[in-house]
Amino acid sequence: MGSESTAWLYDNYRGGAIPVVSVCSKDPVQLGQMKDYTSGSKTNFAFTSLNVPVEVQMTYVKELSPDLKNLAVLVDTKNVSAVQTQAEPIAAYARQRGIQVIWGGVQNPAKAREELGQIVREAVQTMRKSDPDLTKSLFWVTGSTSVFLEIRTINENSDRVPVVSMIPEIVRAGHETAVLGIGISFESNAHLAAIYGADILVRKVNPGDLKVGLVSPPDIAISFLKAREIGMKVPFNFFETASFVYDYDGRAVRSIASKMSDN
Amino acid sequence: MLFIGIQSYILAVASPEKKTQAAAIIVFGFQGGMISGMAIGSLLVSYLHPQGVFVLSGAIGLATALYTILLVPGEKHPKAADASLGSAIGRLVRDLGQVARSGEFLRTMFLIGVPAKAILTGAVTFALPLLLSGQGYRPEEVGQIIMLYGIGVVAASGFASRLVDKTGDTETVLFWGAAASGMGLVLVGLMGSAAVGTGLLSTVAVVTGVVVVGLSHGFINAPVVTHVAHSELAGQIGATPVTTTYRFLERIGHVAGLLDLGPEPTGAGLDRRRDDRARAPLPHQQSAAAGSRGRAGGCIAMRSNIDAFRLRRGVMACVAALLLSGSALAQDRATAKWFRYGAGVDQSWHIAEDATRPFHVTVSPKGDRSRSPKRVLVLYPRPSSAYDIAITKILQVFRSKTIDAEFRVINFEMDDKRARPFASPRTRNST
Repeated sequence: MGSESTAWLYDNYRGGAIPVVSVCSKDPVQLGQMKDYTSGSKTNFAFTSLNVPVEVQMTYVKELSPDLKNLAVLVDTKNVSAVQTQAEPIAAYARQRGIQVIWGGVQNPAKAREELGQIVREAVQTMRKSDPDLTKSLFWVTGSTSVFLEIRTINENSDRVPVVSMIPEIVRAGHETAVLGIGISFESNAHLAAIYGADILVRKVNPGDLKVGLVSPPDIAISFLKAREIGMKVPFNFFETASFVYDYDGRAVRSIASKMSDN
Repeated sequence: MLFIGIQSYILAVASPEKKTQAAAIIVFGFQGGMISGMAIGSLLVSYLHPQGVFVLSGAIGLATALYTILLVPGEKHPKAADASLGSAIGRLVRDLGQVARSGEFLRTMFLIGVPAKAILTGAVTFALPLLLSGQGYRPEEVGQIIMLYGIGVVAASGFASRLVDKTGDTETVLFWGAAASGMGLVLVGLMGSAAVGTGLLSTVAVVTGVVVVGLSHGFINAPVVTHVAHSELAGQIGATPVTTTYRFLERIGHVAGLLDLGPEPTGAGLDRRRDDRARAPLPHQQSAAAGSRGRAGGCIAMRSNIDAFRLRRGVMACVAALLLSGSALAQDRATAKWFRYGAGVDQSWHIAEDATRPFHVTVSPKGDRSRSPKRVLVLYPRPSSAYDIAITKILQVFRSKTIDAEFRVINFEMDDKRARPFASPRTRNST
């Protein structure tokens, strides 16, 4: 459970007799645990991934904000897997396309609240220089626990800049929410991992033959309460495909996290 | 002593036509204190720690003593010689001798009072939590069910006491109280039986049974005092000696209730393996004493199968579960800090905490098990809401696929020592 456990087992139990399935772990290819997404590990490991390919994420982002000028990436610098597999790839992708990337790295997770308050305020000031009305800027919240737990602090300081999370669960009922979540929910990932685990237990498959478990398309979560607060228009196809939808009062009106079958 | 003192005072100041209602005040206070005390203690223990709760209890006791000394009006003081300890013991022995010759008193004592107290300590306080735990109820659910007993007593006492004071007919009220108590126990005994199964109907049976037992004891606790206070014997030696002696002898029931469920040599014909199923699927360390029982057959099953070792642990378990439900909450909290799950999981799975290892939890499916269940080890590096969501979904999927798998969940907090045994060379070569 979690990238840290997976890394620990990978270092200490790779080649062991008992199969291992990763759950809630980040991209094993980007972390160097797998060569590619399709070959299988050929060991006792079967991997799943919480990450959505950066190209897919940016497709959604471009649809949300076609003229995006500023992207502030919020990440815990101590969370190596989040930096390597989430923050750096999207930052690199955005820079290549001429988008200004504002790196918002939390140095001390224990003081994430204090740090994030300052990071987000300064990021907004930077964004205003090229985007005075803040309509072409985004905050991008990575899957760092210390960061996404401070969604309230981020909201308090982000002015009207949309806060988009890679973790769909950060979009939730009420005001303390990201406006949009684009990623693989913990629930969807766990569902896939459970299917992997069950199939391995009944000897239907070998762990080493399984390709990296990626849920596709990603889960989308929308808070219309927050969207209205900041004046953000939500593309209709986002609404169509969203797994989690919260209405203008912040109440959950759709919750269908899992879109997988057993086959 | 406090109990007897309160009773004597209340009976002394109450008017004759309201004696039973006066006695009901004691019942209200006692049962109300049990219910609220459990809840308050549970909440406070996490802030004050056990020592703080005991200190606070001591302070309350001291305040009670000061209140008694300063504000409770005293009776006419007995002569110094009469107030000595030796004199008091002498009077008690003399009263015991007199009541022992009263058939009416003995009938009331051994057919009403003692059984009621035996049911309270033996069945409700001791056996029921073990049976409920064995059926997979969580500690908080066990506590809530047991509290229904106290609520039932309080609810019925007011009505019963007014009825008795109005009609003066204690015998009828006591009879129906005793009869209903028996019927309630029958309902409790149905839990997990073939007649009601192990689902909702079983829960309905046990909840109804506990409520009926509580209500029926409400028809006994206060009226029985009035009954003995108005007995022929009380007319001869006085109401206070009779009621005091009654309360003293009533304690036999408290002891007898536990002894009835006490150690008994296990017969050769008993299948000891019934209680030896690997890892009792109980949610908390105090519950681990109960062991796993395939089928709850009521107190008789308890009597025949609980061995001495389990009895000792069981007593400790009950004390922890009932008198200190706070400990249950505190233990809950110890695990809840890192292991949480979504609604509905505990309907299909037993969640068992390892008392000696607070970072270990065992999750096993309820219902029939296969002979060779699969085993799954889940490693948490730390607590996370993400893992709460994930483990909930994993358990749901395994349940939907009817895979008999036992999960062992370990929060190793990135400490090699905690996880190393599971990735040792020996583990590498095992399957």
